[in-house]
Amino acid sequence: MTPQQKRAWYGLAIGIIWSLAMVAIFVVKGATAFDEDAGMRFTVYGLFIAGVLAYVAMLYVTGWRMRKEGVLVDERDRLILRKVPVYQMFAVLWTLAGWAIALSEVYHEQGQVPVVFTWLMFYSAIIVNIVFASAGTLIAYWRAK
Amino acid sequence: MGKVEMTNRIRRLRFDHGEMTQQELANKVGCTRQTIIALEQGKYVPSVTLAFQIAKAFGVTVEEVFQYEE
Repeated sequence: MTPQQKRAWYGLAIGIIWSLAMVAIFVVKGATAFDEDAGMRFTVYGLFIAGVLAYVAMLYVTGWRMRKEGVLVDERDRLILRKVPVYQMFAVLWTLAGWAIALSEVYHEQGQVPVVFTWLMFYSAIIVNIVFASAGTLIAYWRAK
Repeated sequence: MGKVEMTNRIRRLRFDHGEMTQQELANKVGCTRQTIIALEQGKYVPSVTLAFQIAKAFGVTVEEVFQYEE
């Protein structure tokens, strides 16, 4: 396993824990509670910022360790890693498509969508983007095998 | 255009050069051991630069390391 793959596994672990925590809050409290419950809103904001910080800290620490150990990123690694943004882009597009279809179907009768879903779409797009930075790396290395 | 295939004699040349390990070759040419493994398995086609570096590491020409078949 290359150092890039190890880093991707750490990123994926953070991303999965982060996603599950976000989903758990909305499942327990209910999506519409976001508008009424200030405590829930701040919990979600806090969790969102904590997730981003945890991911950035992981990138910083693993990057520092890789530089310290003189880890080599050669032409094959660069070629593999160049494919990762494509996986990220498709993952985000499919997520947004999923939201669009689900919200259109559920709220078709009302003709309007609760404001909370704009936030949920934003959070999910960011989280999916970060998760697929790691998952995309693992998929790209796996496909190169 | 027919299917293009690149083959190489890296594994053979390593053994002919004092049973050089994959890691030793990787260190010599400045790539990772995983890249040497992928090259030997025919799963990766190197850049021209890396191909020349590998040939130089063995003291042979590029054609003696890599073969192009159509």
